[in-house]
Amino acid sequence: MSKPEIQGFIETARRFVKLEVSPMVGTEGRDGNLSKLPQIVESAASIGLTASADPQSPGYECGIWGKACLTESPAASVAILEEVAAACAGVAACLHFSSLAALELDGMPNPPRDAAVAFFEDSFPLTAETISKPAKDAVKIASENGQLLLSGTKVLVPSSPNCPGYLVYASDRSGWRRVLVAANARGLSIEDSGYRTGLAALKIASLKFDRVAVDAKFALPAKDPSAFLRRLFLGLAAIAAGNARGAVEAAAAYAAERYQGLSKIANHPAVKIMLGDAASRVSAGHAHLTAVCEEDRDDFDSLIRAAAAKLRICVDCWQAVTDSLQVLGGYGYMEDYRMEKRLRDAMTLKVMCGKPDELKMFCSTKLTGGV
Amino acid sequence: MVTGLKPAEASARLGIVGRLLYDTEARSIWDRDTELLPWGFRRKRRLYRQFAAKEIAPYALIADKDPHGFDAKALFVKSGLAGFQTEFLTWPFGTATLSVLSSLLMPTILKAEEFCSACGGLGLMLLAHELGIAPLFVSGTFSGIFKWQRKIYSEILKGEPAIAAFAITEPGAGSDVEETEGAAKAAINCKARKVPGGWRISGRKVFISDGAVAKWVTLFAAQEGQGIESWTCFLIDKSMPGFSAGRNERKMGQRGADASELILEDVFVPDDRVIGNVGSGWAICRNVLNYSRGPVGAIALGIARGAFESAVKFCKENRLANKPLMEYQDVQLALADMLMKLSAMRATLWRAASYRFPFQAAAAIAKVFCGDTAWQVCNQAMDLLGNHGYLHTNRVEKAARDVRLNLIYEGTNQINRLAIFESQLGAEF
Repeated sequence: MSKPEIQGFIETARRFVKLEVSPMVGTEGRDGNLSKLPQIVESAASIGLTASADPQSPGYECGIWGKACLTESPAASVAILEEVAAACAGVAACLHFSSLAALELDGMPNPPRDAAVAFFEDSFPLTAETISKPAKDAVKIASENGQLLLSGTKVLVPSSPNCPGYLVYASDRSGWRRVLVAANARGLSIEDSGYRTGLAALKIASLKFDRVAVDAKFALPAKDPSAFLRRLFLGLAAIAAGNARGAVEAAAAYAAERYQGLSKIANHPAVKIMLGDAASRVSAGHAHLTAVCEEDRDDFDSLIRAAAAKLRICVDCWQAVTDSLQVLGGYGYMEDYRMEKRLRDAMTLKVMCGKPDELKMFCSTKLTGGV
Repeated sequence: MVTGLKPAEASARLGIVGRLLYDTEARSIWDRDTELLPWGFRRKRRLYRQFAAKEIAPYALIADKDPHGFDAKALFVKSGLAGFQTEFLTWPFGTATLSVLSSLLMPTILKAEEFCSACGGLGLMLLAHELGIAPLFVSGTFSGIFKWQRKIYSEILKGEPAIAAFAITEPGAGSDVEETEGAAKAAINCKARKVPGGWRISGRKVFISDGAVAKWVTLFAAQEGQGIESWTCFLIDKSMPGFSAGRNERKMGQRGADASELILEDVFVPDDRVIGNVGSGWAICRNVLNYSRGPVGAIALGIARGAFESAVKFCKENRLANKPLMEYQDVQLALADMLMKLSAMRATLWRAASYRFPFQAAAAIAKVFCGDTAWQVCNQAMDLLGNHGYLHTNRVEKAARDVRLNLIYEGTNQINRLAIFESQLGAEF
């Protein structure tokens, strides 16, 4: 994908942010006006920012995690997510998680416009083994009277607020199976995660499957979750990078305006050091993402590179955000300046869907002969 | 299963003296550290811990989610009646034990750790009162201590919510009024004008901990037409005409304690409410910071310990691949690292408290080191819990939000670093 093409997506994302996201974030409430979210998600889909498995939808090719990720590279998806996250990481996460199933559902007749992917479970660590073959106590799928029956629990599944269904990774004797389950399916109980640190725009829920019956036509061909995980990690890294970029820009603007002791705080060495360090981390994160997108293939090495990007960028960008908050001093800690929201979001991004030590061990897999 | 090789088992092969010299007891570091203290402090530390478990911890999440729905004054009264809010003076005026003669700061440092391990916000609400009282004490004046501090203490011991707050920060002057270079050029807004029988004060203070619930405020104002060198400390009674509490800030954490705006519109303050000499406010303020920065470090330590304890609980109760999390070496490595940092913080604080009088470098070192380290520990706890780390119910994310403030208040950690060196510039290393 050429630079001008990517720039075009960035411009579209900027217009979307200006019209839809920034007014929602506003200054009121801990995380902005969340009641506007369904409308924002709808609007993103209508202008093709988010992908859908429906070939007629505007984002089918070039939306976030659209078909172009396979034919070209994930660069456009990453660029859009970064741009939206610079305004609000929660909305960006919402668009990310509502698009992740699109490529998986490609080819399915009458696919839902939006479905969340349910993969993670408390019972297994992220390793090369659990990716290639489900752990013993993963959610089980079994055939009975021509139907598929799901049993087990998926924990803390992120989705958009009105997510109509879930693409569930479940285990049978042969390995991973994927099946689409409607959110209102009988036997499926959805428990909201409750009050949490950040990314409040996301719905995060645990799914309990009590012999949930699914028609066989909603089962997809067997496939391990590598491709899903690659996109998951890249998207989270992009959101972390965008969120931190927004934080550094806001801190720099504040430092250029705020006087302390008759001098702009931008002139204080401590502020210069923090801003410079934060900006360098953001810049390194962006470069890291660009490099990973260029080398993205459907192989295990690319998954490792995506996991490394999620690890490194989320940690570095969390540091950049906390330094940006420090530039604002007491004001940074108050909700009004929205910097504390950025930090809460960065803290959440760092630990969700692959915590740092887990990713470090996963990244060592190949080095230590684990594959 | 390894048998016979663990220290407690292996020590059985030693003789009596060998066993005496080899301590293999599985007692907590908390218990061992407590034994290092003089008797009076040992007893206090246990009492603080009991109070925190019974009166603070059960309300931590509630006060964090809905600070306005929690009765902070009722908690203060309980703490006051337990003798925990009057510990700058001994009997017959206060409740300090004689051990305080060996360390003025130790009771507050012990209390801050225990209270804040249960909840950073509610802990701050109780501890900010001591900050409000400190100017009366460090003024070293008869009226400051034996008239006003004694009066406030007697109200508390009678069961009244006579909370005190400390007010220096202004909209245009934050960390710079906590540092020499910045203070020289600070834009001071709160002004005092001499009138017959007293002073008229106008201006605004912001981010004042306990500002909304306090009855008393030790407030610093400059004389009209002059800068911070003219700063004078006044004891304000919130019932004074022209005084009001304004905006209550919405904070990221430590939400159990309010941070409020104080508005003074031509408030008349009688001469006898001037604390210390006229123009001695800057000196009082700087010395209050020497007394308060150690306890602020202890607040950070307490919050980090709370996060550590929550992480340990989670790792004991949850399993991964049919094995308790606690049995994984990567989990043990992370917990050990956190425990090591907690020990280092406590050692720094107890050393700072061991000096006869607090001084600038030791206070700022304790504040900066503990704030920065506690922030690391709380984030390690979140990292350890992974997806569960961001859930409010597991408490570690609250601890991380709470402790982030410790890098900002009582002078940002950058200002405190400058303070460390300011006091050591002329010293031989």
